[in-house]
Amino acid sequence: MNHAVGRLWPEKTSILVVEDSAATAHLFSARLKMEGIDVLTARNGIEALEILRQGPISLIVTDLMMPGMDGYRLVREIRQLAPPLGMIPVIVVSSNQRESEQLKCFEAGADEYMTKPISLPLLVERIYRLLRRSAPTP
Amino acid sequence: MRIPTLPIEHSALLKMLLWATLAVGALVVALILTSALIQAWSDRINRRRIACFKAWEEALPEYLYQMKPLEEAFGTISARDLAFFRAFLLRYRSTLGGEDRRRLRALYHGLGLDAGLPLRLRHSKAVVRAQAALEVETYDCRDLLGPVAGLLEDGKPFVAFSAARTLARLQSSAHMPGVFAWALRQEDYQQDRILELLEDFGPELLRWIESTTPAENDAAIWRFYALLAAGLRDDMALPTLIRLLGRPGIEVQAAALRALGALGDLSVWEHIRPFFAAEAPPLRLHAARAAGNLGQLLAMDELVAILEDPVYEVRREAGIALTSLGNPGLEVLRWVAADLNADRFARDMAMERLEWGRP
Repeated sequence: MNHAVGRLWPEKTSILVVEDSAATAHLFSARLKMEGIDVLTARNGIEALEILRQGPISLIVTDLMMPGMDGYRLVREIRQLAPPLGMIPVIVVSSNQRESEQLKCFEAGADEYMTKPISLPLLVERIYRLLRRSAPTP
Repeated sequence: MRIPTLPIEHSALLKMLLWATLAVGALVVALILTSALIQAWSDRINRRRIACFKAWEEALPEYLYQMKPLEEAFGTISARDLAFFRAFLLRYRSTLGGEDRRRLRALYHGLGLDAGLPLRLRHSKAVVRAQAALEVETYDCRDLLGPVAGLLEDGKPFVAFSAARTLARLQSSAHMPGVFAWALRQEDYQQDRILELLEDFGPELLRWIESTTPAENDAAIWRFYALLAAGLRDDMALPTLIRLLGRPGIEVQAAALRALGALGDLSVWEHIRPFFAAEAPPLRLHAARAAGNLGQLLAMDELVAILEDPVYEVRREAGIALTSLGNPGLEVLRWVAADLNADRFARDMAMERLEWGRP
Protein backbone atom coordinates (compact mmCIF):
# COMPACT_ATOMS: atom_id res chain seq x y z
CA MET A 1 0.00 0.00 0.00
CA ASN A 2 1.42 3.31 -0.94
CA HIS A 3 0.48 5.76 1.76
CA ALA A 4 1.80 8.66 -0.26
CA VAL A 5 -0.99 8.28 -2.81
CA GLY A 6 -3.29 11.31 -2.91
CA ARG A 7 -0.99 13.55 -0.89
CA LEU A 8 0.95 16.28 -2.58
CA TRP A 9 3.53 17.38 -0.04
CA PRO A 10 4.84 20.95 -0.17
CA GLU A 11 8.25 21.17 -1.85
CA LYS A 12 11.29 20.49 0.37
CA THR A 13 9.21 19.31 3.30
CA SER A 14 11.47 18.55 6.22
CA ILE A 15 10.17 17.14 9.51
CA LEU A 16 12.09 17.17 12.79
CA VAL A 17 11.22 14.28 15.12
CA VAL A 18 12.22 14.96 18.74
CA GLU A 19 12.08 11.75 20.73
CA ASP A 20 14.37 10.23 23.35
CA SER A 21 13.46 6.64 22.48
CA ALA A 22 15.63 5.64 19.52
CA ALA A 23 13.20 2.86 18.55
CA THR A 24 10.22 5.22 18.39
CA ALA A 25 12.21 7.91 16.57
CA HIS A 26 13.34 5.34 14.00
CA LEU A 27 9.80 4.09 13.42
CA PHE A 28 8.43 7.63 13.06
CA SER A 29 11.14 8.65 10.62
CA ALA A 30 10.85 5.40 8.62
CA ARG A 31 7.12 5.98 8.24
CA LEU A 32 7.56 9.63 7.26
CA LYS A 33 10.35 8.85 4.80
CA MET A 34 7.92 6.55 3.01
CA GLU A 35 6.10 9.76 2.07
CA GLY A 36 9.22 10.96 0.29
CA ILE A 37 9.95 13.74 2.77
CA ASP A 38 13.14 14.57 4.66
CA VAL A 39 13.24 13.57 8.31
CA LEU A 40 15.71 14.66 10.98
CA THR A 41 15.79 13.34 14.53
CA ALA A 42 16.84 14.85 17.85
CA ARG A 43 17.01 13.17 21.25
CA ASN A 44 15.86 16.17 23.28
CA GLY A 45 14.93 19.84 23.12
CA ILE A 46 18.51 21.09 23.19
CA GLU A 47 19.47 19.06 20.11
CA ALA A 48 16.23 20.07 18.43
CA LEU A 49 16.94 23.81 18.86
CA GLU A 50 20.43 23.33 17.40
CA ILE A 51 19.05 21.53 14.34
CA LEU A 52 16.33 24.14 13.99
CA ARG A 53 18.89 26.95 13.79
CA GLN A 54 20.97 25.09 11.19
CA GLY A 55 18.43 24.58 8.44
CA PRO A 56 14.84 24.97 7.31
CA ILE A 57 12.37 22.72 9.12
CA SER A 58 8.74 22.58 8.01
CA LEU A 59 7.23 20.99 11.12
CA ILE A 60 8.26 19.49 14.46
CA VAL A 61 6.88 16.35 16.07
CA THR A 62 7.97 16.20 19.69
CA ASP A 63 7.62 13.94 22.69
CA LEU A 64 6.96 15.55 26.08
CA MET A 65 9.08 13.73 28.62
CA MET A 66 12.73 13.89 27.56
CA PRO A 67 15.99 14.35 29.45
CA GLY A 68 17.82 17.65 29.08
CA MET A 69 15.01 19.80 27.75
CA ASP A 70 11.45 18.51 27.77
CA GLY A 71 8.72 19.10 25.20
CA TYR A 72 6.99 21.95 27.08
CA ARG A 73 10.17 23.99 27.27
CA LEU A 74 11.05 23.20 23.68
CA VAL A 75 7.69 24.52 22.46
CA ARG A 76 8.03 27.65 24.60
CA GLU A 77 11.60 28.26 23.33
CA ILE A 78 10.50 27.84 19.71
CA ARG A 79 7.66 30.31 20.13
CA GLN A 80 10.09 32.88 21.47
CA LEU A 81 12.22 32.70 18.31
CA ALA A 82 11.78 35.33 15.63
CA PRO A 83 9.62 34.37 12.61
CA PRO A 84 9.70 32.25 10.55
CA LEU A 85 11.39 29.89 13.07
CA GLY A 86 8.99 30.87 15.83
CA MET A 87 5.99 30.06 13.62
CA ILE A 88 6.91 26.44 12.83
CA PRO A 89 3.95 24.11 13.45
CA VAL A 90 4.53 21.78 16.40
CA ILE A 91 2.73 18.51 17.09
CA VAL A 92 3.16 17.11 20.61
CA VAL A 93 2.94 13.33 20.93
CA SER A 94 2.70 12.04 24.49
CA SER A 95 1.27 9.18 26.51
CA ASN A 96 -0.10 11.68 29.00
CA GLN A 97 -3.85 11.79 28.42
CA ARG A 98 -4.69 14.31 31.13
CA GLU A 99 -6.70 17.30 30.00
CA SER A 100 -4.54 19.64 32.12
CA GLU A 101 -1.32 18.46 30.41
CA GLN A 102 -2.84 18.93 26.98
CA LEU A 103 -3.98 22.44 27.87
CA LYS A 104 -0.50 23.19 29.23
CA CYS A 105 0.99 22.22 25.86
CA PHE A 106 -1.45 24.35 23.90
CA GLU A 107 -0.76 27.26 26.22
CA ALA A 108 2.97 26.79 25.57
CA GLY A 109 2.26 27.16 21.83
CA ALA A 110 1.71 23.64 20.44
CA ASP A 111 -0.55 23.33 17.39
CA GLU A 112 -1.65 19.73 17.90
CA TYR A 113 -1.60 17.17 20.70
CA MET A 114 -1.79 13.45 20.02
CA THR A 115 -1.87 10.85 22.77
CA LYS A 116 0.10 7.63 22.59
CA PRO A 117 -0.56 4.95 21.58
CA ILE A 118 -0.97 6.60 18.20
CA SER A 119 -1.64 5.40 14.71
CA LEU A 120 1.23 6.58 12.52
CA PRO A 121 -0.92 6.88 9.37
CA LEU A 122 -3.07 9.25 11.41
CA LEU A 123 0.00 11.23 12.49
CA VAL A 124 1.08 11.53 8.85
CA GLU A 125 -2.40 12.75 7.94
CA ARG A 126 -2.30 15.40 10.72
CA ILE A 127 1.16 16.56 9.62
CA TYR A 128 -0.03 16.85 6.05
CA ARG A 129 -3.15 18.88 6.98
CA LEU A 130 -1.16 21.15 9.28
CA LEU A 131 1.48 21.82 6.62
CA ARG A 132 -1.16 22.51 4.02
CA ARG A 133 -2.85 25.02 6.29
CA SER A 134 0.39 26.75 7.22
CA ALA A 135 1.80 26.83 3.66
CA PRO A 136 1.89 30.34 2.16
CA THR A 137 -0.95 30.89 -0.30
CA PRO A 138 0.28 31.38 -3.89
CA MET B 1 80.48 -20.74 53.58
CA ARG B 2 77.93 -22.72 55.53
CA ILE B 3 74.24 -22.52 54.53
CA PRO B 4 72.03 -22.27 57.57
CA THR B 5 69.33 -24.99 57.76
CA LEU B 6 65.89 -24.47 59.16
CA PRO B 7 64.61 -26.62 61.94
CA ILE B 8 62.23 -29.43 60.85
CA GLU B 9 59.03 -27.75 62.18
CA HIS B 10 59.88 -24.52 60.28
CA SER B 11 60.33 -26.35 56.97
CA ALA B 12 56.87 -28.03 57.32
CA LEU B 13 55.27 -24.64 57.98
CA LEU B 14 56.96 -23.23 54.90
CA LYS B 15 55.58 -26.07 52.76
CA MET B 16 52.09 -25.47 54.10
CA LEU B 17 52.35 -21.78 53.34
CA LEU B 18 53.58 -22.57 49.84
CA TRP B 19 50.65 -24.91 49.12
CA ALA B 20 48.15 -22.48 50.59
CA THR B 21 49.53 -19.70 48.37
CA LEU B 22 49.27 -21.96 45.34
CA ALA B 23 45.69 -22.92 46.21
CA VAL B 24 44.62 -19.28 46.66
CA GLY B 25 46.36 -18.36 43.41
CA ALA B 26 44.57 -21.17 41.56
CA LEU B 27 41.24 -20.08 43.02
CA VAL B 28 41.79 -16.48 41.95
CA VAL B 29 42.77 -17.56 38.43
CA ALA B 30 39.68 -19.81 38.24
CA LEU B 31 37.46 -16.96 39.38
CA ILE B 32 38.98 -14.56 36.85
CA LEU B 33 38.55 -17.12 34.06
CA THR B 34 34.95 -17.86 35.05
CA SER B 35 33.97 -14.19 35.19
CA ALA B 36 35.72 -13.57 31.86
CA LEU B 37 33.76 -16.46 30.35
CA ILE B 38 30.48 -15.14 31.79
CA GLN B 39 31.29 -11.64 30.49
CA ALA B 40 32.19 -12.99 27.05
CA TRP B 41 28.96 -14.99 26.99
CA SER B 42 26.79 -12.05 27.99
CA ASP B 43 28.65 -9.79 25.51
CA ARG B 44 27.91 -12.32 22.81
CA ILE B 45 24.22 -12.38 23.75
CA ASN B 46 24.09 -8.58 23.82
CA ARG B 47 25.79 -8.30 20.44
CA ARG B 48 23.33 -10.80 19.04
CA ARG B 49 20.41 -8.89 20.59
CA ILE B 50 21.63 -5.54 19.20
CA ALA B 51 22.16 -7.05 15.73
CA CYS B 52 18.66 -8.57 15.79
CA PHE B 53 17.05 -5.32 17.00
CA LYS B 54 18.78 -3.32 14.26
CA ALA B 55 17.63 -5.71 11.55
CA TRP B 56 14.08 -5.83 12.94
CA GLU B 57 13.89 -2.03 13.27
CA GLU B 58 14.41 -1.82 9.52
CA ALA B 59 11.88 -4.59 8.89
CA LEU B 60 9.09 -3.31 11.14
CA PRO B 61 8.00 -0.35 8.93
CA GLU B 62 7.97 -2.71 5.94
CA TYR B 63 5.72 -5.12 7.83
CA LEU B 64 3.46 -2.39 9.21
CA TYR B 65 3.20 0.01 6.29
CA GLN B 66 4.19 -1.86 3.16
CA MET B 67 2.04 -4.77 4.35
CA LYS B 68 4.77 -7.28 3.70
CA PRO B 69 4.03 -10.73 5.17
CA LEU B 70 5.87 -11.66 8.36
CA GLU B 71 8.35 -14.02 6.67
CA GLU B 72 9.17 -11.57 3.92
CA ALA B 73 9.70 -8.61 6.23
CA PHE B 74 11.55 -10.29 9.10
CA GLY B 75 12.89 -13.45 7.48
CA THR B 76 12.95 -16.59 9.58
CA ILE B 77 13.23 -15.88 13.27
CA SER B 78 15.01 -18.74 15.00
CA ALA B 79 13.62 -20.23 18.21
CA ARG B 80 16.55 -18.89 20.25
CA ASP B 81 15.79 -15.32 19.06
CA LEU B 82 12.09 -15.44 19.96
CA ALA B 83 12.70 -14.03 23.46
CA PHE B 84 14.58 -11.12 21.85
CA PHE B 85 11.73 -10.59 19.45
CA ARG B 86 9.24 -10.43 22.32
CA ALA B 87 11.38 -7.75 23.99
CA PHE B 88 11.69 -5.93 20.66
CA LEU B 89 7.92 -5.81 20.16
CA LEU B 90 7.36 -4.58 23.71
CA ARG B 91 9.32 -1.41 22.95
CA TYR B 92 6.39 -0.30 20.79
CA ARG B 93 3.74 -1.36 23.32
CA SER B 94 2.82 2.13 24.46
CA THR B 95 3.63 3.92 21.21
CA LEU B 96 1.59 2.28 18.50
CA GLY B 97 -2.19 2.35 18.33
CA GLY B 98 -4.98 1.74 15.87
CA GLU B 99 -4.28 -0.50 12.90
CA ASP B 100 -0.55 -0.53 13.72
CA ARG B 101 -1.31 -2.09 17.08
CA ARG B 102 -3.52 -4.73 15.49
CA ARG B 103 -0.68 -5.63 13.12
CA LEU B 104 1.69 -5.90 16.10
CA ARG B 105 -0.77 -8.25 17.82
CA ALA B 106 -0.97 -10.39 14.69
CA LEU B 107 2.82 -10.55 14.67
CA TYR B 108 2.94 -11.61 18.32
CA HIS B 109 0.32 -14.33 17.92
CA GLY B 110 1.64 -15.36 14.51
CA LEU B 111 4.99 -16.24 16.05
CA GLY B 112 3.33 -18.09 18.92
CA LEU B 113 4.85 -15.74 21.51
CA ASP B 114 1.69 -16.11 23.61
CA ALA B 115 2.38 -19.81 24.20
CA GLY B 116 4.70 -19.15 27.15
CA LEU B 117 2.39 -16.64 28.87
CA PRO B 118 0.64 -19.05 31.31
CA LEU B 119 4.02 -20.17 32.64
CA ARG B 120 5.41 -16.64 32.77
CA LEU B 121 2.38 -15.48 34.76
CA ARG B 122 3.45 -18.00 37.45
CA HIS B 123 7.19 -17.33 37.16
CA SER B 124 9.27 -17.08 40.33
CA LYS B 125 10.66 -13.69 39.25
CA ALA B 126 8.24 -10.83 39.94
CA VAL B 127 9.46 -8.81 36.91
CA VAL B 128 8.56 -11.69 34.58
CA ARG B 129 5.08 -12.02 36.12
CA ALA B 130 4.45 -8.27 35.79
CA GLN B 131 5.70 -8.23 32.20
CA ALA B 132 3.51 -11.21 31.30
CA ALA B 133 0.46 -9.47 32.82
CA LEU B 134 1.13 -6.40 30.67
CA GLU B 135 1.54 -8.56 27.56
CA VAL B 136 -1.92 -10.05 28.15
CA GLU B 137 -3.32 -6.52 27.75
CA THR B 138 -1.06 -5.39 24.93
CA TYR B 139 -1.77 -8.44 22.79
CA ASP B 140 -5.35 -8.93 23.91
CA CYS B 141 -5.00 -12.47 25.30
CA ARG B 142 -8.42 -12.54 26.97
CA ASP B 143 -8.33 -16.26 27.67
CA LEU B 144 -5.68 -15.55 30.33
CA LEU B 145 -7.67 -13.02 32.36
CA GLY B 146 -8.27 -15.60 35.12
CA PRO B 147 -4.56 -16.14 35.89
CA VAL B 148 -4.01 -12.37 35.62
CA ALA B 149 -6.75 -11.77 38.23
CA GLY B 150 -4.87 -14.16 40.52
CA LEU B 151 -1.94 -11.72 40.47
CA LEU B 152 -4.07 -9.08 42.24
CA GLU B 153 -3.07 -10.91 45.43
CA ASP B 154 0.63 -10.92 44.48
CA GLY B 155 3.02 -9.95 47.26
CA LYS B 156 4.85 -7.50 44.98
CA PRO B 157 2.79 -4.30 44.58
CA PHE B 158 4.01 -3.61 41.02
CA VAL B 159 2.88 -7.07 39.89
CA ALA B 160 -0.58 -6.54 41.36
CA PHE B 161 -0.71 -3.08 39.75
CA SER B 162 0.18 -4.51 36.32
CA ALA B 163 -2.54 -7.15 36.73
CA ALA B 164 -5.14 -4.53 37.76
CA ARG B 165 -4.19 -2.31 34.82
CA THR B 166 -4.56 -5.18 32.38
CA LEU B 167 -7.99 -6.15 33.73
CA ALA B 168 -9.16 -2.53 33.65
CA ARG B 169 -7.86 -1.79 30.16
CA LEU B 170 -9.47 -4.92 28.78
CA GLN B 171 -12.66 -3.81 30.62
CA SER B 172 -13.18 -7.23 32.13
CA SER B 173 -16.60 -6.94 33.84
CA ALA B 174 -16.14 -10.29 35.55
CA HIS B 175 -13.03 -9.04 37.36
CA MET B 176 -14.28 -5.53 38.10
CA PRO B 177 -15.20 -6.36 41.74
CA GLY B 178 -11.75 -7.88 42.31
CA VAL B 179 -9.94 -4.86 40.89
CA PHE B 180 -12.12 -2.44 42.87
CA ALA B 181 -11.47 -4.38 46.10
CA TRP B 182 -7.74 -4.22 45.30
CA ALA B 183 -8.01 -0.44 44.68
CA LEU B 184 -9.63 0.09 48.08
CA ARG B 185 -6.73 -1.68 49.77
CA GLN B 186 -4.13 0.73 48.31
CA GLU B 187 -2.54 3.58 50.24
CA ASP B 188 -3.99 7.09 49.92
CA TYR B 189 -0.88 8.51 48.25
CA GLN B 190 -1.51 6.15 45.31
CA GLN B 191 -4.99 7.58 44.77
CA ASP B 192 -4.36 9.47 41.52
CA ARG B 193 -2.79 6.57 39.64
CA ILE B 194 -5.41 4.15 41.00
CA LEU B 195 -8.22 6.45 39.83
CA GLU B 196 -6.62 6.74 36.41
CA LEU B 197 -6.48 2.95 36.26
CA LEU B 198 -10.12 2.49 37.35
CA GLU B 199 -11.32 5.03 34.77
CA ASP B 200 -10.39 2.49 32.10
CA PHE B 201 -13.43 0.44 33.16
CA GLY B 202 -15.61 3.35 32.06
CA PRO B 203 -19.07 4.25 33.48
CA GLU B 204 -19.91 0.56 33.88
CA LEU B 205 -17.89 0.59 37.11
CA LEU B 206 -20.09 3.38 38.50
CA ARG B 207 -23.26 1.47 37.64
CA TRP B 208 -21.82 -1.59 39.38
CA ILE B 209 -21.00 0.39 42.55
CA GLU B 210 -24.52 1.93 42.54
CA SER B 211 -26.17 -1.47 42.25
CA THR B 212 -24.04 -3.35 44.76
CA THR B 213 -23.10 -0.87 47.50
CA PRO B 214 -25.65 0.07 50.19
CA ALA B 215 -25.86 3.81 50.80
CA GLU B 216 -24.70 3.48 54.39
CA ASN B 217 -21.66 1.45 53.40
CA ASP B 218 -17.97 2.30 53.65
CA ALA B 219 -17.22 5.99 52.99
CA ALA B 220 -14.09 5.06 51.01
CA ILE B 221 -16.24 3.37 48.34
CA TRP B 222 -18.45 6.41 47.87
CA ARG B 223 -15.48 8.75 47.85
CA PHE B 224 -13.96 6.70 45.04
CA TYR B 225 -17.33 6.71 43.30
CA ALA B 226 -17.53 10.50 43.34
CA LEU B 227 -13.94 10.97 42.18
CA LEU B 228 -14.47 8.48 39.37
CA ALA B 229 -17.70 10.19 38.31
CA ALA B 230 -15.72 13.46 38.12
CA GLY B 231 -12.95 11.85 36.05
CA LEU B 232 -15.37 10.11 33.70
CA ARG B 233 -17.72 13.13 33.45
CA ASP B 234 -20.58 10.69 33.89
CA ASP B 235 -23.96 12.51 33.77
CA MET B 236 -25.84 9.42 34.92
CA ALA B 237 -24.10 9.70 38.30
CA LEU B 238 -25.84 13.04 39.07
CA PRO B 239 -28.69 11.67 41.26
CA THR B 240 -26.28 9.56 43.33
CA LEU B 241 -23.85 12.47 43.73
CA ILE B 242 -26.66 14.73 44.97
CA ARG B 243 -27.65 11.99 47.45
CA LEU B 244 -24.01 11.78 48.61
CA LEU B 245 -24.08 15.50 49.51
CA GLY B 246 -26.57 14.58 52.24
CA ARG B 247 -24.45 11.69 53.52
CA PRO B 248 -22.46 12.48 56.67
CA GLY B 249 -18.69 12.57 56.19
CA ILE B 250 -16.59 15.47 54.96
CA GLU B 251 -14.47 13.44 52.53
CA VAL B 252 -17.46 11.99 50.67
CA GLN B 253 -19.25 15.34 50.51
CA ALA B 254 -16.09 17.11 49.28
CA ALA B 255 -15.60 14.47 46.56
CA ALA B 256 -19.26 14.79 45.54
CA LEU B 257 -18.92 18.59 45.29
CA ARG B 258 -15.83 18.16 43.15
CA ALA B 259 -17.71 15.76 40.86
CA LEU B 260 -20.75 18.01 40.55
CA GLY B 261 -18.48 20.90 39.56
CA ALA B 262 -16.75 18.71 36.97
CA LEU B 263 -20.04 17.57 35.42
CA GLY B 264 -20.91 21.19 34.61
CA ASP B 265 -24.68 20.83 35.02
CA LEU B 266 -26.05 24.16 36.30
CA SER B 267 -29.21 22.50 37.62
CA VAL B 268 -27.24 21.23 40.64
CA TRP B 269 -26.38 24.74 41.85
CA GLU B 270 -29.08 24.81 44.57
CA HIS B 271 -27.56 21.63 46.05
CA ILE B 272 -24.08 23.19 46.11
CA ARG B 273 -25.02 26.61 47.51
CA PRO B 274 -25.55 25.55 51.19
CA PHE B 275 -21.94 24.32 51.38
CA PHE B 276 -20.61 27.88 51.23
CA ALA B 277 -21.77 28.11 54.85
CA ALA B 278 -20.42 24.67 55.84
CA GLU B 279 -18.39 24.45 59.02
CA ALA B 280 -15.61 22.36 57.47
CA PRO B 281 -13.19 24.44 55.34
CA PRO B 282 -12.72 21.68 52.67
CA LEU B 283 -16.45 21.84 51.93
CA ARG B 284 -16.41 25.63 51.50
CA LEU B 285 -13.34 25.24 49.29
CA HIS B 286 -14.96 22.61 47.06
CA ALA B 287 -18.19 24.59 46.85
CA ALA B 288 -16.17 27.57 45.56
CA ARG B 289 -14.30 25.37 43.11
CA ALA B 290 -17.56 23.85 41.85
CA ALA B 291 -19.06 27.34 41.35
CA GLY B 292 -15.99 28.34 39.32
CA ASN B 293 -16.14 25.18 37.21
CA LEU B 294 -19.84 25.62 36.58
CA GLY B 295 -19.26 29.25 35.59
CA GLN B 296 -22.17 30.07 37.88
CA LEU B 297 -22.69 33.85 37.86
CA LEU B 298 -25.38 33.43 40.51
CA ALA B 299 -22.59 32.40 42.90
CA MET B 300 -21.06 35.88 42.87
CA ASP B 301 -22.42 36.88 46.32
CA GLU B 302 -21.29 33.63 47.95
CA LEU B 303 -17.84 33.87 46.38
CA VAL B 304 -17.36 37.48 47.48
CA ALA B 305 -18.45 36.50 50.99
CA ILE B 306 -15.85 33.75 51.32
CA LEU B 307 -13.11 36.05 50.05
CA GLU B 308 -13.14 37.01 53.74
CA ASP B 309 -12.84 33.39 54.90
CA PRO B 310 -10.37 32.87 57.78
CA VAL B 311 -8.74 29.96 55.89
CA TYR B 312 -6.31 31.08 53.16
CA GLU B 313 -6.96 28.08 50.86
CA VAL B 314 -10.69 28.82 50.83
CA ARG B 315 -10.10 32.51 50.03
CA ARG B 316 -7.70 31.51 47.27
CA GLU B 317 -10.23 29.11 45.74
CA ALA B 318 -12.88 31.85 45.84
CA GLY B 319 -10.47 34.22 44.05
CA ILE B 320 -9.72 31.60 41.39
CA ALA B 321 -13.44 30.87 40.96
CA LEU B 322 -14.16 34.57 40.45
CA THR B 323 -11.51 34.82 37.72
CA SER B 324 -13.05 31.70 36.10
CA LEU B 325 -16.33 33.62 35.78
CA GLY B 326 -14.69 35.93 33.25
CA ASN B 327 -15.24 39.67 33.08
CA PRO B 328 -18.04 39.88 35.70
CA GLY B 329 -15.82 38.04 38.21
CA LEU B 330 -12.78 40.17 37.38
CA GLU B 331 -14.89 43.33 37.79
CA VAL B 332 -15.84 42.20 41.30
CA LEU B 333 -12.20 41.49 42.14
CA ARG B 334 -11.16 44.95 40.91
CA TRP B 335 -13.92 46.53 42.96
CA VAL B 336 -12.89 44.65 46.14
CA ALA B 337 -9.20 45.44 45.55
CA ALA B 338 -9.95 49.16 45.20
CA ASP B 339 -12.29 49.35 48.20
CA LEU B 340 -10.23 50.60 51.15
CA ASN B 341 -13.06 49.67 53.53
CA ALA B 342 -13.19 46.07 52.35
CA ASP B 343 -12.06 43.24 54.60
CA ARG B 344 -8.23 43.07 54.67
CA PHE B 345 -8.19 39.33 53.78
CA ALA B 346 -10.61 39.83 50.89
CA ARG B 347 -8.68 42.84 49.55
CA ASP B 348 -5.34 41.01 49.69
CA MET B 349 -6.79 38.01 47.89
CA ALA B 350 -8.44 40.15 45.21
CA MET B 351 -5.11 41.92 44.57
CA GLU B 352 -3.25 38.59 44.52
CA ARG B 353 -5.62 37.10 41.93
CA LEU B 354 -5.54 40.21 39.75
CA GLU B 355 -1.74 40.19 39.85
CA TRP B 356 -1.71 36.58 38.73
CA GLY B 357 -3.98 37.53 35.86
CA ARG B 358 -5.32 34.02 35.56
CA PRO B 359 -5.77 31.12 37.96
